[in-house]
Amino acid sequence: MFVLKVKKQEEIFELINNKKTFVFICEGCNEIFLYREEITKFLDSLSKENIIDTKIVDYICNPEYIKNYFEIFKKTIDLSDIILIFSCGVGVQTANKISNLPVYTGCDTLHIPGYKGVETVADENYDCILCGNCYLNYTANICPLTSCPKELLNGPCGGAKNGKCEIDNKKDCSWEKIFEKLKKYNNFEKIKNEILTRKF
Amino acid sequence: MILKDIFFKKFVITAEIGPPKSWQVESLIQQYKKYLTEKIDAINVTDNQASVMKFGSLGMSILLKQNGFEPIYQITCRDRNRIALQSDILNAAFFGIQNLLLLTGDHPIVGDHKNAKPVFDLDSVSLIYTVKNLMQGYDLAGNKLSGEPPKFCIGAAVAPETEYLDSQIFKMEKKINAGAEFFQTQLVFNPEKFIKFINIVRKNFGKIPIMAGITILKSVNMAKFMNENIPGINIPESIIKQLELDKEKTKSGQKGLEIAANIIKDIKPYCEGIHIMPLGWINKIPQLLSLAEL
Amino acid sequence: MNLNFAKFDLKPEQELKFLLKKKDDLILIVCSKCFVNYTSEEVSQSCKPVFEIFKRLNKKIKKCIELNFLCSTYINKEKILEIINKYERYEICVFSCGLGIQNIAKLIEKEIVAISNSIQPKYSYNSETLHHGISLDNDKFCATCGECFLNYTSGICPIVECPKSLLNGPCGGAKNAKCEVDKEKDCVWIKIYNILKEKNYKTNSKVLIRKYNNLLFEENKKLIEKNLAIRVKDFCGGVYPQENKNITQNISTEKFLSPQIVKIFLSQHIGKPSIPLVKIGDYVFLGQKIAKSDGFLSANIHSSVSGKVIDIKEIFHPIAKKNLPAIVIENDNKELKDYKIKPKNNWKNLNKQKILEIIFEKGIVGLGGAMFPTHVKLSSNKKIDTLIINASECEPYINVDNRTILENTKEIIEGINIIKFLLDIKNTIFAIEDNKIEAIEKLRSILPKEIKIEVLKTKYPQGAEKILIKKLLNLKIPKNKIPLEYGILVHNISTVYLIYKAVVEGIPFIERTVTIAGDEEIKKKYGNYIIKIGTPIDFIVKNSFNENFNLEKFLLKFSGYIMGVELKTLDTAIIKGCNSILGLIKKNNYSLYNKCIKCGRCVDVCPMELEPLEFVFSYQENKMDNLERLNMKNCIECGCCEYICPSKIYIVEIIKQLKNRF
Repeated sequence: MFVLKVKKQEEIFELINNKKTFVFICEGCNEIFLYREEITKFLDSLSKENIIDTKIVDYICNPEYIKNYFEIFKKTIDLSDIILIFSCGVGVQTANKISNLPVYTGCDTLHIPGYKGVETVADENYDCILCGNCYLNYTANICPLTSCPKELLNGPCGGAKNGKCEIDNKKDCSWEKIFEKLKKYNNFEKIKNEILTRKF
Repeated sequence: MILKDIFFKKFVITAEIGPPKSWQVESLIQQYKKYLTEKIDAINVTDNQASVMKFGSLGMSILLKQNGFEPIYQITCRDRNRIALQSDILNAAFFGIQNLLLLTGDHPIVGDHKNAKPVFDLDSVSLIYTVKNLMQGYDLAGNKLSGEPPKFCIGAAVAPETEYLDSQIFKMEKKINAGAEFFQTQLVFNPEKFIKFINIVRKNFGKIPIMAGITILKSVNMAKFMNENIPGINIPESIIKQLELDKEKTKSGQKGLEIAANIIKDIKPYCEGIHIMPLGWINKIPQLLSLAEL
Repeated sequence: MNLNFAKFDLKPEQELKFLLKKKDDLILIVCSKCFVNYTSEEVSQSCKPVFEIFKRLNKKIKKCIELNFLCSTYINKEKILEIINKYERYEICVFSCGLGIQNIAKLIEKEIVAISNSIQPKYSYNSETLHHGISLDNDKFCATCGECFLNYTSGICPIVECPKSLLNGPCGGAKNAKCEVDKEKDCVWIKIYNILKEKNYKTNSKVLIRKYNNLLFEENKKLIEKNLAIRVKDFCGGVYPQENKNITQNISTEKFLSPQIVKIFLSQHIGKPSIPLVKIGDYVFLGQKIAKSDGFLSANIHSSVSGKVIDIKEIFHPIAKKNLPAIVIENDNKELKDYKIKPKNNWKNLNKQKILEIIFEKGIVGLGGAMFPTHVKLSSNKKIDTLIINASECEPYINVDNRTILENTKEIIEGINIIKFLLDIKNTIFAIEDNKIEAIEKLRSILPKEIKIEVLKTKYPQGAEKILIKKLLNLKIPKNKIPLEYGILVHNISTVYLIYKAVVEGIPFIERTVTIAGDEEIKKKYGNYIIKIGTPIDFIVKNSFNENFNLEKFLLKFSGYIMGVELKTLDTAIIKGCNSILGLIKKNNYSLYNKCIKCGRCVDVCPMELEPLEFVFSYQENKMDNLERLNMKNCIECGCCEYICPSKIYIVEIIKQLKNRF
């Protein structure tokens, strides 16, 4: 799941710098949560002369589609100096590949844990970062890489206070959780005997 | 002097110092010479403690060694990956540093460079394992070191008074298996809890040297602050009451010294040494030692 | 589009041997991967390596189940729990990415064995984590760093593409413009620099520094909650299309121009076509019955103009998508009314039977989309407890219900009273979405107290019957059941208005409100119009869209942006169930045979918790044996899956065709 945060207005103003701008807003993809109102408000605050056209499309991360969009809106794109895109990082990069004009982005892409299972992200950091070497067998099927800020593999760091993490007292120490579960399964054998290191 | 040679022969006393945010550290050496007398067996040098950028622990350890002190070089995994860690440790070996304390380290977010990238390539257990490998003549990737392998005494940390003792013991076991040779504990304020912890350690791991962490409480507020914010610390109500009783005596440090000395007396028969974290009151260390009859 | 974004791989044999020591009887749960081309070859290949290795290790696999999207609890929870309860004493091995493993671990109170390693896309050289489920392009990734630098790096991401993630320029390690890490790879920074110059990007003199730990846990949690709120609120799935209601929101309803001829289909509703009562050459009056109901599930049809019947012939029917008979009437523009159109000043003098007769006689059908004959719904002998008036017009662009509420509030209340009288209903709920602020205010001021107004969050398809009931009454209507069996009657607001018009004013269903809107490029005149049933589409197109409009470049949507059908011919006409005509720029080419890339987005958005991709697979590979198990009958054809589909497959059309084959 990803959240698109609209960049600070001054930053985008500086980029546009009175150039004629064509705006693409990428919508549709369900993984992306776009602050639609913020974008509309921002675009409204720009002067009408600067914005040549605003088009709402979907999946500009697909090179075939964005090629298609450039063709469909050729008339107004040809009048523009720059292209401003509100989409995730992939969309901007794909558009840049096709475009002859400078492509700027108005968004920051943030990742929030959990991809599809909608409830899965409800109570804790629960994610897979594709590390390439799954440790879940040692850690009671709770991933310490995604749930521990220090990504510790061999046990808790001692920074927990009242069962909460040292970097955030609202967050449960994930190693305490792992430990609890290991106790329940009574399965310390594997993790006790292995010294786990990341394989980058 | 390597610490493992003196454990069980004498009651080991170490003190902790924190390097300043400065490069001019000569004046500190004079101070250390004055207060850290021969009773102190070794000096612990913190590695950018609490993620606040400071004079490095390697440089300070070397400086101490050159001035006749015995440093314990602290290394955390927060700032360096496995390459830097191992090469720093080799540096230390050359300069005659033999005692290491290997820690995971605080997260950058608690320090003064909040946006720094947390490295944590290794953690304390794997770092201990790495040093153990170096001591056997190999680096972590399995390549052979040329020449003699370095000699170290590997220290690790443990928090005996935490509410989650089980998981601490679990990790302690991993550290011992990886190669830890002595443990330095988080601050001790409850002797009976500490003794309980020692009993568990003796039962599970036999004779492993434990050095109890001791500090001199400066004020009621400090005690309360530590209780609320510092992990693994649990200052009992009775001690806070003692501090509240006589404000003047607390302010001058007399009360704090008495409390610390009493704790030392209580736990001395159970552990192999103490580790004093003076938190700035380095000048009070001689007084503490005489009060505790060491 | 060709995709194979492998996310996990089997662990090495040695490790598996170690992990499965003393574990011989196994249950295997396999995720059939996402972001791969969904074809039968891929499916048959996916489990092979696991079986081979397990055979070598001498492990018995008691049962192997392969599921789509192990990370989604919605579709898999029951299946997994069933298997696990059945084979309790067996060890569970999971072959999936980390999400699937953790998801199953969370579902069951038992330790499971992960036999796979999740892997990064091959493209990645550095330790930056790339996240899946975002990219359709095989060579573009986003590290979701939260502080996009693309504006200063000419739209190429150095965080992802440079092995050192350098932000401020090349490192000097490049030799012949190739990267020091991989001789095959071009130095990204040289590429970036060239494009910066070539396209005349704004250059930045600032030193760029990454901000790690930017998103704190609490902030992160807030974002998660915000997302959860929109994703699972009210009902699972659903989509948030751009509403575009403002185009016609404030335009009052007006009468559309009267066409020269009308083409009135004999199939205006669900059920049997009506039987024509007129023949070529007959003169008909406005509102005269020209076709009669054929049996129980059918409805009468009336002429929407006065004039001469000039033909009865087959014309392309927009919904049925085939040629069906229609009565063609030449309009003489005299608007001579049928003698039967007589207002009744006080309907309360009529008995129930008489009112039902009127509703039947005047050919009223439900306007919720299904065009179900209204008299059938109203003559149920089941006891009805609750009447839900559905004004949650969740489709984009359309303002029919909205305008009806604003302009005909009193008539609607009267209509509600008629229905309540007919079925002795006490409980009435008026459901409306929170984007119709003006209408809500008006209702609050006028609606009698015993009618409860429920304001719902705007989310498509909030207006679907079963979803509405679940939300309002917290009652889940099981598969293959209709709300009527549970004592619940749902009526669309426009239907209620029609009932009023029929019973009180005596006017049969001969015209309806239709929103005509679309993109700015082809606008001639958009608005909400009262349009005669049978008005030819080409007449509407000529009067609403400008000369730029053509069917090649533009999309003509009949009755809804999402649920509507795409018209490929103009030779057809308005039917009773049509709520809108939309002219849109054709942005993508949809097809029945575009390849599914198994992104799982359709599963995500399906409000009925189905797996639409399986229908596509069945259709394209001609494998029908699965459909029963997949509960296809439950599909409400809301079109969410088609809206979200990145492969642009006509999923709804596929489902309709499959339903017909059964």
